[in-house]
Amino acid sequence: MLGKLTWAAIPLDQPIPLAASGLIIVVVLGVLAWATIKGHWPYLWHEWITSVDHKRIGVMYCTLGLIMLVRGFIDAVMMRSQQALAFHAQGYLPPEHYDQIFSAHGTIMIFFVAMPVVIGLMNFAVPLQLGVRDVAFPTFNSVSLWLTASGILLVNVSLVIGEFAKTGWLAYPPLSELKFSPGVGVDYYLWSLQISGIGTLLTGINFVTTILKVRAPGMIYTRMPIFCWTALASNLLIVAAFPILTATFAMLLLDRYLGFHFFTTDAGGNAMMYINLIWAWGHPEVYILILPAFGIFSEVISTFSGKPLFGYRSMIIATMAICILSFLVWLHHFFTMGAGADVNGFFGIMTMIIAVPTGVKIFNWLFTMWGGRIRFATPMLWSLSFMVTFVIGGMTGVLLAVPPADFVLHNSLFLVAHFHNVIIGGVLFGVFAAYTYWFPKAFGFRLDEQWGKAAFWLWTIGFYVAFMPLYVLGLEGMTRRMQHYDVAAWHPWLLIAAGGAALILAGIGCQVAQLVVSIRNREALRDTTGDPWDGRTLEWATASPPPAFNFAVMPNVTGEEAYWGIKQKALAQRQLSELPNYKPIEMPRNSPTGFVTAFFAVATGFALIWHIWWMVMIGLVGAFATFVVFAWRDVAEYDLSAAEVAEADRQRREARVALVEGREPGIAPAITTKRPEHDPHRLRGLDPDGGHTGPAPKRIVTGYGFWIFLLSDFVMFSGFYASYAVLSHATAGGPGPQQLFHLPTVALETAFLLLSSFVCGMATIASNARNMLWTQVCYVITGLLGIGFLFLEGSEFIKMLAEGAGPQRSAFLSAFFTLVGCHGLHITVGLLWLGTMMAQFWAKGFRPDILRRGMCFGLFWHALDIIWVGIFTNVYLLGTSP
Amino acid sequence: MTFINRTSVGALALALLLAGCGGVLDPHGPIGASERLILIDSVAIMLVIVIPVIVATLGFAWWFRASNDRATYLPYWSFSGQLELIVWAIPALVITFLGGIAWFGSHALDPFEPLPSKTPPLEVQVVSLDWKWLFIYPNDGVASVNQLIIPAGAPVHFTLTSSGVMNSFFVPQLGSQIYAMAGMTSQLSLQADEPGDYPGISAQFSGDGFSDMRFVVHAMSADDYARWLDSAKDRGAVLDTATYAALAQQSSGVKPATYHGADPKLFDSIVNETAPPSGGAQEQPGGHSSSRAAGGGG
Repeated sequence: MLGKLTWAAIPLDQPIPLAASGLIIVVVLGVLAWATIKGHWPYLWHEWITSVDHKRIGVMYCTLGLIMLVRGFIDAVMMRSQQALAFHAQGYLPPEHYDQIFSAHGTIMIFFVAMPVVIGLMNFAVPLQLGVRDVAFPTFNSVSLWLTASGILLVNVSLVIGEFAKTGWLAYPPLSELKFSPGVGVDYYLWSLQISGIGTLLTGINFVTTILKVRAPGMIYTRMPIFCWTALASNLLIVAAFPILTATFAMLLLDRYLGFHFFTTDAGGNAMMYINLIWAWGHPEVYILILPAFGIFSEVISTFSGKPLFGYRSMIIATMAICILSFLVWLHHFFTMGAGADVNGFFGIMTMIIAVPTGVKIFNWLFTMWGGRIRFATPMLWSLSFMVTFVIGGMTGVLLAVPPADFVLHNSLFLVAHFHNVIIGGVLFGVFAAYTYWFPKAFGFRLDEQWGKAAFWLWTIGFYVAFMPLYVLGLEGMTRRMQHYDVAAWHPWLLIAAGGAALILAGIGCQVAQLVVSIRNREALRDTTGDPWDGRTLEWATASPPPAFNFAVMPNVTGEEAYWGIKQKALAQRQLSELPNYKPIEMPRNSPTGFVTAFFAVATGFALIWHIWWMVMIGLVGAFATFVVFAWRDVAEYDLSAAEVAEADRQRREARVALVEGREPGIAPAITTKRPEHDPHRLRGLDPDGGHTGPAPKRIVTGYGFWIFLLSDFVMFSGFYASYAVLSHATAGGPGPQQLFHLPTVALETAFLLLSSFVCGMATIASNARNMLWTQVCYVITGLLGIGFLFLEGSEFIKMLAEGAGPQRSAFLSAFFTLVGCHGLHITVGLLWLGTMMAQFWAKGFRPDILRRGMCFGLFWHALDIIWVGIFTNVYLLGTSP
Repeated sequence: MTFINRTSVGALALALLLAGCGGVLDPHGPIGASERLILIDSVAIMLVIVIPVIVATLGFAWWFRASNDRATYLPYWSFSGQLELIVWAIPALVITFLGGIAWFGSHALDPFEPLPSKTPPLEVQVVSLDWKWLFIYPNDGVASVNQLIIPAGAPVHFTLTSSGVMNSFFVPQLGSQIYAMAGMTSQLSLQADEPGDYPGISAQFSGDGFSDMRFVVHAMSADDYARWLDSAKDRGAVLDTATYAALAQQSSGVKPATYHGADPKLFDSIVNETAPPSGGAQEQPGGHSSSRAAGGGG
């Protein structure tokens, strides 16, 4: 009934996890009870949980991430104290516990701290900076958030029920295979990351579409704030890299659950392939995190220097160069695998080339400060500390890119020090800068500067004290992940490092105090103007906190630094622009879809981890039903009248008067220096609308989003195809393609699918002509041909299984069944989608949203056709050719 | 140039400070010595650019502070073609230089390449087991666990594989590490210049017993090595399939031991997976993975 789940899953005999999980349960129950007693649930449900407002979602992402930062940091403190104690001793954490802690620390810090916070900041700031009212797909944005939360919940459940992975944060096989890790730890790891990974992928699709297609009038690409550019690069990387992770984890899951042989030590499995694939995702992942941080530093340094960003276009080129290069360096994570001198040399040089655009960025920040009037507010302090710290981390990174140096430093604490140097000094300092910078925009009051500066100094000094000793230890030959050791020379350095962790703890304490103090003093810290830092980008043009619709009137952008231009004009003329003509605004309605999906996702994930198969079925059906209900809804938007909009904007304009008249402290007076005439690209930036007329219509936005989804789907298939190509000869003495594939059947399958695609195209034509009968007839034929395809494919599979040529037989067959089966799964999902859509057309007629869905279904079905033609050619035809 | 010299001296001073601590800055063989040289050179080259950048960051920030009336405010200055050129050129030049080091270093120190030497290298087969190292001397029928005896001053050629989980074979004071992976072999050549004991580790996490997966390299004079080999030929147990099957079970903190009568086909049978497989871990009630000898002695 409950699969593998028994009372033995609760760690009653281990005091540390028991106490930790007990504390967490008490805190969670306490918060829930408090919310219930105070009657906060209706507010939380309507204003937050079901909210599709990008600002609310951003705040929730950041909150989740910062809470998990505390969890990850507790793990770090345990590791540092264990290593400080475990000289000639076992310390207080036995290996089976210590191994879980470092695995959880890495997994949590990357996936559930850095990712949610960075995504949260993009959520909050990007639509505001683009001058629009929301992201391209607001409800999917909520789904993304709640799927990430599901992953977080599952990881934390592992603390109480069962165990977490003991395999390191990337779960290299064969260690992560069933044979060496038979417990539920790796399953917790895999399912929580698969579920949150879907959320991340949706975010990527959403933001690429938003930045490409949903921008204010006049906001051409070369007028976008640099943070939007870095967000675009980061989300392009998500779309291109996360499907690789999904495919890789899917293969490991098939190994663990169904006895496939992708990465096992027998039947032709190849663990090296996992390491290649995981880093083909893993290195872009680093840039997914750091690029938005670079964007934040660019905004902060420019704002607090009172100058435009130096070399704006150079920065864009550097950002996009990093975006592309990040896919060409993955092998530097395993120079010590023995790939040969040419391969190692090539990847070493490619890695170093990334240092060029990164170096350019550092220089451009330097020249942004040159000639500035620098105010040392907390965000600027974080940025300066970043610049100093990051060049050190960059230097050690380039050092590790020299293969012979890596041969002696690989996997050592030197490496650990390096990536903490760039992730703490880069991503985390960027996050803290952004937290202080955008907090007043999000909540309407600033954070206390005194506590902020104390936190800054403790973090910065703590970082150096904690991680510089690790560089030394790496040079002394200490490798990572050691539970105990008996080298006397290491001990003092590890004691110093533990002291550094204590300083960082004090820094976190100051941040908590800062939040509490700021909330209590919020009236004194109130940001009345909406522009507390003398900002330059559009988020500062609206009130703090912004209304749900962000801008009463969508701004018309006429140059770079849209808001700064408007503000300078107003300051010079000592008056605001004239009262605009307010129009009603259409806003997306709240939706519980995300939360309900997440509920079923958690149930499915938990059930899969513990092999509770009936619950898996309920979870999957529930998730599907949720989407059908969402697709079925009649009203997706609500209208705000022009009068409501005008009233909301009246308050903002009143506050602005104080700013314009110079009564607001902290805002610089109008700059009287004349704009230089010889500055070519800035003059070009003065075109009225630059040829961009504002957000694209919904049909275009939806189509764009779906194309980007298909792109990511192609990447996932490429992952499966790559593994098939690698394993196609790993038959382990079993049958090969020549003996197994029956071309006539497959040719018939292909014909079915091509024909169904053709008929599906006719259905699209019929629906565009509003002809219900022909629409339905064509869709029925499409569906029947699809079912025919599945039937033929299924019978072929059954025949192979009956001959003993199942996926458990060899790595080749594992890869074959996975690649072809994944396509078959897509066809199955397509048929389910088709069924609901036909019913919708029948019930609701040719409503625009259903027509848009019909367009997407057509694209999906044709894409499956193209993928199948690829499979037919590369797998079947090439496989059977003599 | 004086600056480069000074930074090199600084780097060397740090190196000397750390030397004698048994790390990679205290090499006792040609591979390790070359790698230390590359490491220090690369750092010195980068410091030439890194130190000025750090100084400039702090200096610019301080000089252009809002309260400094002597600093000129240039509210529109945001582009300069000449500066852009320099800004791209400086890192590109440094990287061109370092890229050369990476390319030539990668070829000169390719772990699969044999070491130049008049004497033929000693052949050693390395098998990583959960959680100990097995060294087989295929030409002498001798084997050892968690200790590696080699002649000083002569190259040693290692062929490595794993019985299951991946590990990384690493003797910090001799130089390069290399992965040991199941179902395939990797190669490495090292040499100890003088007699001595050099600690070795696994540098790739491999499970609960990982921290104790250590061995010692005893480099001896040629005479001492010959004496050891003679005495080893009839010491300890015979390394046959049954002995190996027992070794392939999980255990940690295993005391160094010597075997004789090692089956010359054993290593190949481990590579092509016909030898007894690794024991792996067991699942306990409640979804816990449990290794058989976690943390304990073997």
